[in-house]
Amino acid sequence: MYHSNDCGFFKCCLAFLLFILLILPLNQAHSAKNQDPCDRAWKLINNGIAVWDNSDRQIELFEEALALCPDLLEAKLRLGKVYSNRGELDKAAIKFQEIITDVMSNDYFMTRPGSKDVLHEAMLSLAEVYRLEGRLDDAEDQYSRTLLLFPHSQAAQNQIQYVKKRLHRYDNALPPRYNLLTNPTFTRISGFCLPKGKFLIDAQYRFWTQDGSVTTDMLDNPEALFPPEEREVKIDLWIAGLRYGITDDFSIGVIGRYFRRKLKLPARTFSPPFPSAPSLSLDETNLKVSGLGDTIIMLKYQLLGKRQTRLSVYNLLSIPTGDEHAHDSDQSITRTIPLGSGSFDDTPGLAFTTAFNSFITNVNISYRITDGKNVGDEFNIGTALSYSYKHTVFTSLELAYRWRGKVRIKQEAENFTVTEKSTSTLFVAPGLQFIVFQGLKLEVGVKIPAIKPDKGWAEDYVFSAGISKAFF
Amino acid sequence: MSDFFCKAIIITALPILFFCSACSRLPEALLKAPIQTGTASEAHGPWYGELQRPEMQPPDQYKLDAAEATVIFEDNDIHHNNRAGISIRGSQPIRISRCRLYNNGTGGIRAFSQAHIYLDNSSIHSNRTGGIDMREGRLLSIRRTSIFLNGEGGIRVQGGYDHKSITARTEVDIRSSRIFMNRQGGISIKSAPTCFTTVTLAYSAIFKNNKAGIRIEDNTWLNAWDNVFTRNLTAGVAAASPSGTIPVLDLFQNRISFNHGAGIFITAGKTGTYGISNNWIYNNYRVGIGCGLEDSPFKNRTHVAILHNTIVANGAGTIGAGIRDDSGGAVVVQNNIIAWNVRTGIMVGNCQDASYNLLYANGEVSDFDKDDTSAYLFERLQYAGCPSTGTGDLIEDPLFSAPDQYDFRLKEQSHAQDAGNEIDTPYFLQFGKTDMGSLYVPPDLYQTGFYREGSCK
Repeated sequence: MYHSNDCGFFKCCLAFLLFILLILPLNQAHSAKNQDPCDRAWKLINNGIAVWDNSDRQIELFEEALALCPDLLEAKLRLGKVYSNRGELDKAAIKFQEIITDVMSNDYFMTRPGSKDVLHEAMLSLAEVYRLEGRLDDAEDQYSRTLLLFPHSQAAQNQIQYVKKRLHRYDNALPPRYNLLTNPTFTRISGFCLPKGKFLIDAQYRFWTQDGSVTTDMLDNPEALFPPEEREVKIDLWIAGLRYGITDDFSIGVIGRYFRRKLKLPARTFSPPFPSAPSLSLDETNLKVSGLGDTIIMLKYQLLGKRQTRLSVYNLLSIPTGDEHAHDSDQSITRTIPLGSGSFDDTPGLAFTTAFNSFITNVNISYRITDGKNVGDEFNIGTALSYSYKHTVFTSLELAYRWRGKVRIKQEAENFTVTEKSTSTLFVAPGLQFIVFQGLKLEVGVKIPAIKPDKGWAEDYVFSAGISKAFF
Repeated sequence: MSDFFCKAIIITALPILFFCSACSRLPEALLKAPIQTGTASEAHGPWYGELQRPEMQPPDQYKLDAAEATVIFEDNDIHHNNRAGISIRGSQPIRISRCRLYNNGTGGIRAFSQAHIYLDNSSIHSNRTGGIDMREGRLLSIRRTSIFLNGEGGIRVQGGYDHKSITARTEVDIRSSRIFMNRQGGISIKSAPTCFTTVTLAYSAIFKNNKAGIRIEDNTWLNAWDNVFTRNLTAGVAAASPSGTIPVLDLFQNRISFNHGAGIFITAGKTGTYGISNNWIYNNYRVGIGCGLEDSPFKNRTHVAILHNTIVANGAGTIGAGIRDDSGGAVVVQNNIIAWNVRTGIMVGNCQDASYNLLYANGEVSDFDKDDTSAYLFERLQYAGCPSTGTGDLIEDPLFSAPDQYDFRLKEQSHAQDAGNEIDTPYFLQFGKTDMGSLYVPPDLYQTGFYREGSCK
C-alpha cells in the first residue's frame, strides 16, 4: 500500500513536469512575440556592434533597430557613425542633427538616462562631419556649442584647438603662457641668457648708509692727522642696465652707475700729539660728491641648459669711468671720496637658475679682482629662493655672504692713507616683485646685514627699488 | 521496480527541464550574432600596403603553426558556464577555431602552466572577467579573432609569476584581430623578471577599451606594427616596469589616435631595432608620446628612439605636448613632424637629442612668420624650454595632404621632404627616402585586416 501511494505521488509529479515541458515552447514563442520592441532593438544594436565593419549589413541591423524602436537614439547614433565611416557625410550629418534636435527639444529625451552621453557624442560627431567636409567654421561653432553644454569634454577641447589653429584664430586667443623667471633684487644675474636678438633694460635705485671709524692702526702715518675719526656715509646709487642676446647662449650687457655720496664727520675736538699745539674743535663736517661710477661690461655664456635649469659663466669687466679722486671740502677739511676704483677690475662668476613649479632658485658666485686701491677684492656668494604667485607676484628671500679684502684709500689732500682690513658680512634680503604688464616688472627689496664686522665699513640696511622691462 | 522507474524518469526529466529554462534565458541576439563578416572598406583608398611590410618574427623556438595542435575545438559555441568557457593546463597544443565563447562566468579562455593555444576566426565576448586569461602559458597565437565587451580586459597574460613554474618564456602572437570595448585594458602583458615574454601584435585594431589599448610590464618585448590603437580610455600603448626589469618596445607603422590619455606612454622602457617609428599619432587627449613621470623617484629608466613619426594635435584644455620626456633617460627624437599640439611640440630634458624635426603651430599660436617680431615666441613655444632649435630642425607648415581629414601624407611642395637625417638601418633604408615624419601610411581602423576568411556558423 505504501509503495502504491508513493508511486502515485511520483506519477503526479511526472505528469506535472511533462505538462510544463509541453507548454514551455509555447510560452517562449509567446514571450518572444510579445517582447518589448525596444529590447529587441537593443539586441540588434549589439549585433551591429559585434559586426563593426561599416558594411550594409551593419546598416541594416541599425535601421531595423530604429524601425522597431524609433525613439532609440543610440540606434540613430550608430547609424550616423556608420555613414560617417563610409564617407556618406550628408546622411551622417542628418542623423546627428536629428539626435540633437530630439534631445534638445523634448523633455522625454532629455530626461532619459544616458541621453546626455548620446547628445555629447552626436554633437561631437556632427562637428567631426563638418571637419571632414572641410567646413572648419561650422566645426568650430559646433565644438563651441559642445563645450557650452559639456565644458569638460576632452574631445571637444582637443578638436577646437586644432580647428582654431587651422583657421588662424588661435594667436593671442589666450594670455601668453610664457612665464618670466624673475631675478631677485640683489642676486641679480640669472643663469638664463637672453634669446638671440632680444633686449632687457632695467633701472634700480638703491640707498644705504655706511658707518665706520678710522682708527690709528688703519693709518700709514698716524702723526699726520688727528685720529680717531667717526664716519657716516649716505649713498644714493642709480643703476641702469641694458642687456642683449647675441646668440641664444651668449649675452652681452652694459651697466652704468651714478653715485651720490655724502660723508658726515661729527663735531669733535682733536688733541694734537704736540703738547704745545692748541687743541682743535670742529663742527659737524658735511662733504658731498656725486658723479658717474665705474661702468660694467657683462659677458655671459650659458654652459648648460635644461628646460628651466640653466648654468652660465659670466665676467663683469669694470671700466674706471668713475672719478677715483673725487673730493670735497668743508671747514678746511678735505676728504677724497672715490666714485670709482680707478682701475680695470675683473669679476668672473657663475650663475645658476632653476625653477620648479612656483619656486625659483638663483645662485651667484663671483670673485672681484682689483688692485686693492679704493676698492678691495671681493668674494660673493648669493642664493635666492623666490616664490611665484600666479606668475605675477614674486616674493624672494636672499642670503648673501661677502668677503671683502684689504683696501687702501689714499686721502690725497691730507696726504695719508687709510688701510681697511678684510671683512666678512652676511646679508639677508627679503624682496617683492610685481609683473604689471607684459614683462614690465617693479621691485622693492631690503638687504639686512645679519652678521657684520665690528670695525671698518659695512652697510646698514640697503633699500632698493627698481623697474625692468624685457622686450621679447 | 516501478518505483525505481518513476524516480528515474523524474531524475532524468529535471535536468532537461532546467536546461530548457536556461535556454529560454539565452540572449537571442547573441546566439545569432554575426561575428565578423563583410569586406574591407575601400573608402580611404589604397594607402595600405604600398610599401613592403617587414615581417617581424621574434627569434623563437616555438613555431606558430597550428597544424601541430593535438586537441582541436572547431565550430563550437561555449557560453553561460559558471566558470571559464575553456580551461587549459599543460603543454598539449590546442587549436580553437571558428568558435564563440561568451557569457561565461569567469573568462572565455583560462590557460595555465605551459599552455599552447592557437586561436583563430573566433569571437570571445561578454565574459565576466577577461576574454583570455593566461598565466604562465607558453604560447598564445591569435588570428582573425574578435575579443570584446569582456568584464576585465580583453587579453591578460602573466608570464612566469609563479617561481615554481618551469616556464621560462611566454610567446604571444596576435594578428588580424580586434580587441575592443573591454571594460578594462585591451591587452595586458606582465612578465616576471625570471620570464621573458615576447609579444607580436600586427594588423589588429585595439579600440574603445576602458584602460590602455595595450600595456606591457617588466621583462616583455613588444613588436607591434600596422595596428590601430584608438579611443582607449587611457593610453593607446603603455609600458611600465613595476619590478625594475625594463620592457622593450618596437612600435612602428601604427595609427594611434583619440586615446584619452597619451598616445604612447612609457614609464620605463627601451626601444629595440625599430624604435618608435613611422607612426601617425594624433588627437590623443594628453600627449602624443610621453616618457617618464615628472615626480617619479625612478629616473633614467627610459632609453627610447622616436624616429619618423607624424605627431599631430595632441592634448586638450591647457595640456598636451607632441613629445614629452620627464624620464631623465635618453630619448632620441629625430625626423619627426610635430604640429598643432596643444601646449608645445617637444618638451624633453636633453635638448641636444632632438634634431631634424619639423615643428609647427604647437602651443597657442597658429601662424609663423620668421621675419615677424613674434617669431621668437613662436619658436620657444615649439620647444618648451630648449634654448634653441635643434640641428636640422624646420619650423614651418608641413603641408599635409588633407590634415582635416586625418591624411598626414606630405604634399609634393612640403619642405619636410628629404629634409630628414638618413638613418642607416635596413628598415629605414628600404623606404628609399629621408622625409621628415612617417615614411609609411599606417592602416586605419577598417584596414586592419581582421576580416576573416571563414565565419563561425
